[in-house]
Amino acid sequence: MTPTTAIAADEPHVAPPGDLAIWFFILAELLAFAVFFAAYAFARAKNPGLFDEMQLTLNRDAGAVNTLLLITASWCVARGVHAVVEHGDNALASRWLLGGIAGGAGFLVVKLFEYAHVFGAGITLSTNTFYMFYISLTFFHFMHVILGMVILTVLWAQTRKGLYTPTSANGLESGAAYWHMVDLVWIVLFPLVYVMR
Amino acid sequence: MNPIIPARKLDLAYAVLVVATVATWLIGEWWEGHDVLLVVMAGMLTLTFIKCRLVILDFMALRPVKFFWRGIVIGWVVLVLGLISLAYLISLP
Repeated sequence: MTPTTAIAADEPHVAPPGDLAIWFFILAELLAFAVFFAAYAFARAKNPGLFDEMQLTLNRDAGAVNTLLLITASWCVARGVHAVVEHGDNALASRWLLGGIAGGAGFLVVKLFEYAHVFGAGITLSTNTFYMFYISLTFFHFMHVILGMVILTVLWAQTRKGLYTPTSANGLESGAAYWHMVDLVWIVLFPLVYVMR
Repeated sequence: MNPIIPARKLDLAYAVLVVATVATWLIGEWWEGHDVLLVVMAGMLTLTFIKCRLVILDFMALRPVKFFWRGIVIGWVVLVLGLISLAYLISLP
């Protein structure tokens, strides 16, 4: 390695991994969730007693299990990207992505059980302010997980075909970045809705 | 050339995320039977910040990227946790 390339390798990358467009999309999504989170926090500030009481009706264990499922899925996806970018190994990447898909599917199953419990108890968006936020906020995130699952499935199919190389992995990195955004948002949502009192 | 985070670093980040998530869950279990405690709230927010930072720097692979991009996403975390803290302080009796 020449001194010139050594210096170049140490320099920070100018652009984030993946397409620049996906990062603008991610930033827009993060902004939308920020508004949602702030609205929840300030609505709670007006009536903390109601929010604390209603929080006790939630299943915190399910929320924690879902956090573990999402971070495990995110780790699998990150390892999948690493398998391609570092080793050019599409077969290994497809197995890691399958792990990510399994984690996401587990999240959806747990969330559906939670929703079945909530809606089974006759709770709706108009039950009270807490449940209006709980249902709308978690469902908004739920839809993002579904979209993320679709993206991961497409990426998995692409890696099965061996389409990515270390120098051509933009699609894989873009999809992975979106999935990590979904994980990032839940990492804030879990303590905000299920833990904070 | 793509930004590459070493596999060992990804595994370490995952291990810390699991421990921090279990710690957050334990805080929730304990908090249920106790009154408002600012130190517990601060601890929970600190754990949340650490978790978000690991996802951003290692999983999103922004660690080797120019500060501008890391700054925007970590700035989002600081903004959100700051607003949550402010609302929490307002809610105190």
